[in-house]
Amino acid sequence: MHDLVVNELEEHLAGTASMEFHAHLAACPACRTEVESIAQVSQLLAELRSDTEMAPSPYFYTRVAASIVEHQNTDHWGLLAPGAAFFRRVAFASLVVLACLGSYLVMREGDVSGMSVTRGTDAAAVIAQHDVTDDHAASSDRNLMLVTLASYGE
Amino acid sequence: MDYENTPEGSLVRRAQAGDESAFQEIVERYQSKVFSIIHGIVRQRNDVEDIAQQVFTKIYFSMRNFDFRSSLITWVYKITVNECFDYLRKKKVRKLVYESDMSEDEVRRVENSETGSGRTVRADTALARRDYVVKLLERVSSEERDLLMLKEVEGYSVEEMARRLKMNENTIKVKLFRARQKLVKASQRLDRAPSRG
Repeated sequence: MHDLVVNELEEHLAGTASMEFHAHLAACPACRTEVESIAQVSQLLAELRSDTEMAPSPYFYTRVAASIVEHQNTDHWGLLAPGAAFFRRVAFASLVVLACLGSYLVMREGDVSGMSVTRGTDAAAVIAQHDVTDDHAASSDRNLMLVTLASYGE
Repeated sequence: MDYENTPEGSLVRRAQAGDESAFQEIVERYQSKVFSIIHGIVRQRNDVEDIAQQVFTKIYFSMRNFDFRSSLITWVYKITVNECFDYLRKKKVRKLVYESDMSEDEVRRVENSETGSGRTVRADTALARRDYVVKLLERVSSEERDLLMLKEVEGYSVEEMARRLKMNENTIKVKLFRARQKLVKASQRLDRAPSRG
């Protein structure tokens, strides 16, 4: 569809399109066909205009106010509302899963601490083997240090 | 003109702050218009007030979201049209569920009386034409539907729509053009659809 038609279609439907627009439609069969289809379908939209004046009842605002209060009461119940049983079950299940996960993490931390104590003991045991009052060669100190470091690494 | 600083703008501000008398004034100001819009689309007198009640309830709870980008009546119009099409969509679903309990003859009788198929909808009755148009409008987006209805049902000019919606005139023209093209395509598809029964 040519730009001229897009730009002036609304004017055409209102009956105020330019001479240039009409000349283009006369010369362009594709645009002419499409504009005719659009005009035909667009006219149908007038069917949605109400031909009857409907006056609201005198109690209409009271009904609206009652509807608003009803919606507000439903919101205030929140998760405690009888209709929220499913969400209560989901919340309970989530708590159980969290409790199990928490227990597992606490148990794992206990194992890790145990291992650290064991390492510490090993290193402490090696160091304790070294008697600082003994006369010994500096090289043996070096060797002992290397053994200590190697043991600590394991 | 800055809409927010108009008398209606200050009425909206009061309603947003929780002033019930301001909200009541809004209801009384627009209830006739809302009834008229609903009746134009739905045509069931018994349902018009029910839908209008839902419209104003929705307006009450959405009032804080109104950002003055359009005029209040334009915003109310959009909510009203959307509620109508939601109502029609739910009614169609309920009808399909109800039909499953009916015999074939009974279903055909109901469909013929309500002009349910694409071919039979194009009968020369006002109700059939209205049903047909509603079917077409269900196939465009809600924004396009609002633009088309403001233009063709409410009779606003492009300039007026640009002012009310705070959009550029060319943007509105392009959006309207695309929406109208979609209506034509929907119309061609509906006309080609085989009739039921």
